[in-house]
Amino acid sequence: MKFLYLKLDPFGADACKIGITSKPDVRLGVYQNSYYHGSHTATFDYLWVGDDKNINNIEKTLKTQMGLSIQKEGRGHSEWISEPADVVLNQISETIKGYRYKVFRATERPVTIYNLDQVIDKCKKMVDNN
Amino acid sequence: MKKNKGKVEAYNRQQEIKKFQDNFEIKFDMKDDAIDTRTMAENYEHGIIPLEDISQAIEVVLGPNKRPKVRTFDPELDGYLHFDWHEWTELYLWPKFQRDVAPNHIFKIEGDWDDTCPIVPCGIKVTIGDVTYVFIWDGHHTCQEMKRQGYTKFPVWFLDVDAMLEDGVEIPDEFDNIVEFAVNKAGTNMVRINSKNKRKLSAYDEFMILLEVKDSATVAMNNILSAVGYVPKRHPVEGGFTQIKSGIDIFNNADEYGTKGKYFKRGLQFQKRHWPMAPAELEIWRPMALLYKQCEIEGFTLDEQFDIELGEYLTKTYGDPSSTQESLKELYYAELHNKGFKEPRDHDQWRVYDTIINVYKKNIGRIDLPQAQCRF
Repeated sequence: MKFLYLKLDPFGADACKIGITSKPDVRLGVYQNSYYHGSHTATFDYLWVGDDKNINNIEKTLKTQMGLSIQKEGRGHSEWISEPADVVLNQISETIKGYRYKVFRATERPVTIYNLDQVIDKCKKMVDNN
Repeated sequence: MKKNKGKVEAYNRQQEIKKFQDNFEIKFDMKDDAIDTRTMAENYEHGIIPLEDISQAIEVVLGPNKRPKVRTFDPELDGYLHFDWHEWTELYLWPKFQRDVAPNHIFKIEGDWDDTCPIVPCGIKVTIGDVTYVFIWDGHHTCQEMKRQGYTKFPVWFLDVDAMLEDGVEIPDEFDNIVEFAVNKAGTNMVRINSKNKRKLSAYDEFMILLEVKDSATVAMNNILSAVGYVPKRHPVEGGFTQIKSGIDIFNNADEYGTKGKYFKRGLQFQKRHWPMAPAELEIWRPMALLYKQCEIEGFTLDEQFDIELGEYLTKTYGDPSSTQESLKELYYAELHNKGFKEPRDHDQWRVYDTIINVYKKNIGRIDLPQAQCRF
């Protein structure tokens, strides 16, 4: 089981980050590391779950589709898409439909370290039932 | 702590590409290995692009750090390369850099000869004693064929070593004489042009050129792609078809009446029906095309319901086309390692073909299919 997440810019820019992980707790911890937890809580603002293949392939497809909005140069730049969330969300939704990716969206949002376990349980059930 | 030794110019390629593309209504791919001029051309009247615009696109992709030193050079006045028409008796071959001549290659050129086709052979002009030689270092087979075709004059683009010497250009120390120097120039340039800097024509480019010149098989294959909803592309993008060579192979699979393209079309239709946005996935449409053909040979009828039920099963179980074909191959290999096969398949197209048959029989099984070579 692997996850695709979309993370909004915490400072409000029209940009989002797309990434994948099989260890969402570790990834959230890494994102939390740069900020004091009293000032900012690291989030996955949207989360999808699927098997490794489908998640790896959808990430590749999305990054190809949105290539022009992704800065390839610059350390740490390459996961940020310079587009508003609704544009990226629409692209993800169309891509899941058009490519028939077997991935499922978690209904909770945002996902934080505080509700992550509960979300993962639900995700497991979604994958098992499909 | 390390100190920055030099100032790095601020340059962000993706931003520069985006800025450049803002000048165009129809966007096109700009990558290191190809700027998609076919799509770029759709922004211009008659589809003809000024070289200056392409030059600007190249500058954007390569960036400021890869620019050569700026200079102005008039090759006609300041260089030593010139064009001229020559008599046959002025032309020579120096076997140090042209090791042989291939009569069968000349005959091959002859079979496809047209007076509009020859490119200009390249040579070196040098005077030794009283004789001025023009050594051909590229295109000497073409020269021979021109002779066979009755040409009375021969075009040559040549380096004028005589003029270099007259202007006081010194022969580098490593060469004992002018001949060695001329041979070095010819040999180095021959390797540069024919090997080192040669960009092989890709299958995609060859296909698109044949399409432009209305080659009948290519046009037919492209018509099938368009009818199904695919577009030939260099890279696998939405709705793109990149597997030109395999496409030609499957397209050429003819039915019992000699009609080509039937199985190719149905294989692609199968994919398009179930994965409408995805680029054509070779190991989905190819094994399906092979299955349609085999069924026809063996007398099985695959109705539309077969396409629907198989596709629905594959998408529901495995997801997108890449994940699907990867999973089918994994199923095959799992069986190979667990139980082994008497005659294992030696190519992915047949591994997926066998697995599709096995998966259908086991999970759907509404109609009969041919036997898979590897059964599980």
